[in-house]
Amino acid sequence: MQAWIEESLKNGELFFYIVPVVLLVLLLIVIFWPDKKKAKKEEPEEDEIDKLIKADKKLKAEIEPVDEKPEEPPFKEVGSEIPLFEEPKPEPETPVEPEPEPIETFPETSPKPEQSTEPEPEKPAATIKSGLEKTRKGGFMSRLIGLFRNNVVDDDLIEELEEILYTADMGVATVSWLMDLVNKNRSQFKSGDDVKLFLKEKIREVLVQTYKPFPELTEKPTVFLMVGVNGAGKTTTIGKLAHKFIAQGKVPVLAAGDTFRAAAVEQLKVWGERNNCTVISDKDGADPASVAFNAVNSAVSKGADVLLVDTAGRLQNRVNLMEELIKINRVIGKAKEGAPHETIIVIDANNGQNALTQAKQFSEAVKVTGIIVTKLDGSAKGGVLIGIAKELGLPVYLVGVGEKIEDLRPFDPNEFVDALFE
Amino acid sequence: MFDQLTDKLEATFKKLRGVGKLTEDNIKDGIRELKLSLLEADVNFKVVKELVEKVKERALGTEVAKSINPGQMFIKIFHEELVAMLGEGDHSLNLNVRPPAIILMAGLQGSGKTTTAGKLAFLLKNKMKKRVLLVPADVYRPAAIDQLKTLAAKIDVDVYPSEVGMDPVDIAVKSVEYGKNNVADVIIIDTAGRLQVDEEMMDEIENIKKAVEPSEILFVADAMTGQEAVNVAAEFHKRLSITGVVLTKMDGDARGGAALSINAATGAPLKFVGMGEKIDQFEVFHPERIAGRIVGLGDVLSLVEKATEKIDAEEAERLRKKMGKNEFDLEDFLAQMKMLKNMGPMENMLEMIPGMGKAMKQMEGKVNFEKELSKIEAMIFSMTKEERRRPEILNASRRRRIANGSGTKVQDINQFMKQYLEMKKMMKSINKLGLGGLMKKFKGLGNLVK
Repeated sequence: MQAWIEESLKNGELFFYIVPVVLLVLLLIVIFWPDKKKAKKEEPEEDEIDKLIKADKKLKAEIEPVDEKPEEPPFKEVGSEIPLFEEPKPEPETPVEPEPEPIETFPETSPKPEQSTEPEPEKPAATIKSGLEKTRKGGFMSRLIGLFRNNVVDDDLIEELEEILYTADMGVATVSWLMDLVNKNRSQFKSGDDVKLFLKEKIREVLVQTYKPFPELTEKPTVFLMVGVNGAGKTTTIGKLAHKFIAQGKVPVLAAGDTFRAAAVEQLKVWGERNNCTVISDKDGADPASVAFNAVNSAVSKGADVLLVDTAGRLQNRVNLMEELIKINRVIGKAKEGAPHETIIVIDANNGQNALTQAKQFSEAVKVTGIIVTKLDGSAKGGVLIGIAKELGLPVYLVGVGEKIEDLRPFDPNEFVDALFE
Repeated sequence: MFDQLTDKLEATFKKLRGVGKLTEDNIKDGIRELKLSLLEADVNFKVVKELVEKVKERALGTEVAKSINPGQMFIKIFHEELVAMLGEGDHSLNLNVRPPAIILMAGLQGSGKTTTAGKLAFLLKNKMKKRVLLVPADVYRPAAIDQLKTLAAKIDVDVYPSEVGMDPVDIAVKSVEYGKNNVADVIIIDTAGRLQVDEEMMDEIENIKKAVEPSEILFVADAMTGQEAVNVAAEFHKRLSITGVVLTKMDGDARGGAALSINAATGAPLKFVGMGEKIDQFEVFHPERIAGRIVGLGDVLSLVEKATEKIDAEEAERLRKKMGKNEFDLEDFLAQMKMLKNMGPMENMLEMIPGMGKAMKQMEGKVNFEKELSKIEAMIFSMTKEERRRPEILNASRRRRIANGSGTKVQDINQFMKQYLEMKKMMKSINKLGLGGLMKKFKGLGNLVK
């Protein structure tokens, strides 16, 4: 069955995927139905698993009629080579040329050359330091030995670094990329701090490359469409943004495009009251595209400087909801040419690798221009942003760092990178 | 969730056919794949290390039964570890106290506490016939109180009349009185989202707990949460001694590794999973099922449970008989599709089917199932009764007519018919085995695993 489906996929007959699926579901129901009551009575526990295993095997046998050729794993292995990121040139940024002075590769933050002999120039990042304690246990002596052996980057250090990177939510692709770079430049490092600085610099480069300040209001009104998954903080962010614009002497209008979630419209209205600005809304359950359309027209007629369109949270794998978003986007463009001028995805800093999928899928549906990261005042580091920047080139415009209305700040790559290693 | 894990492991272990024993050497690559998959699934780094170590320890020296390959053996061990880990503790809701039983919801902002409170109330009311009181105690987020009140009205559940200016601890205390006076069986207190590092807010919820002594303290967590799930959950647990976990937004494509992280950090059992935006898309947590889903065995039991709930038993029986006689025509196909539609979004169901996870990944974002279903529906609707019963009479001119009538192309009809015939063929081969034979086959296969 699966082979069948895969073939249809290859032939582009996606449409007919549905037929086998309908059958398969029916089959499963038919097969398992009579057993259900029995199963309930007997409380089979362990048996259920076995049954599942059996069912799986049965299906597999059915699906792939014992064909022994080692099928290609349909997914790229998350192994050492991760072609997730497009690297334009094979190794364009061989970061540290084999030159005697590694210092040049670490601008700004780089310690001075005497660092290798000085016992302990106190550096800001506390955690990595304690993490690196192990490798430095012998203090001066071991560092001296390390210097001679030119082998600071041992397995312990690699493990410590990996832990820091992974626990910052950087994900397998980004961490592997960084660790490969570290390994390639092993001989350059004289201390664990060198490695840390090197990593910081590499990460900083990625973020600086995609860096863009929060956009200026070029149109009247400049239309911002806010998108993202449920609970990311879109509505709150709009409230804060409105405050920011008013502080700049601009006139914002808010559009209550989340007509789905209970009381989402009320929530935006409260923000409207707090900021003393107009909120365009319709009743719950209204068509969000029409709310957006009306909002653009009324923002134009009111002579507003900026229109902030809220949308319902949607998980990026829900096709219908994503189509709804595409429609909202299209309708806004119909109401005003070139609009929305900015489409901002709001991402919760607590999210792990799914944030990358979010950014990807939303970008495919509508042209996302930038990111606002929320809840960065918690303990989460938001390391997934590096992967997003690297893979999608999306800039982070602003970060939310608190619940107060003014807690929305410009994104500072340096600050962000420092925090990753804190 | 961890859809590709099984594929990856199988691929890794393919090289090892015929190995009799799992050794440090021959499972090295498998261990690495497992580790990376878990990390990519957002399981916390430390938890990954521990889990992988456990699996490795158990795997080493294991004799591989002749009938299965080392990869399957390894997966089986991993699966058992997961079940052991996720299965610990009592997963049911503890309401065995003198009524009203109090449930306190806690979690970060945007994790889905309010929605979950509504869903839980709906479940308690409908399935357990409880009289529920919902208590909005989030006085901070604009319109959070309205949100819960709206939900309560929708499902016709009593709600405590909180107001924005009130003190959350006060609300909680008074709501208990209110609940007693109104003979509520269960009181669900929805609280504001808070960061675990926010001392003041954590004090507040601790005070609520002290004041009302809930029998259940549910930590609500977003399935998309990353590495910090461990620290967040640990701090909430330290402050509140949570009694259970609800994992929300599980209908998304997040791998949900947070489930393992939270479990490792708190030991608190997962009790419910949120599976969608609708009020009834809320399921009791079954460790074996989720573990099965993680290692790629599918979640057939959930599917069947759903089916029995939403599908008319007689209709199912009728279809089964028809299938048995291989008389399954397009009319039945139509009925079957209707049944499926009632069961919720296609995507959710597909993920429960073994081996489908992989295919689903490829489909992601490419296919709109609802739309395609209606397309096929349109085709069948454009056929005459006779054509539906005996699709083999569809000749070129009939097909053209149907294509015109349904707004599709003749090629579409051709393909649909081709697939329909394949389907019948398959059914025939299944019928030959008979249901008994089918089950026997399962058993035979099952023995191989043991």
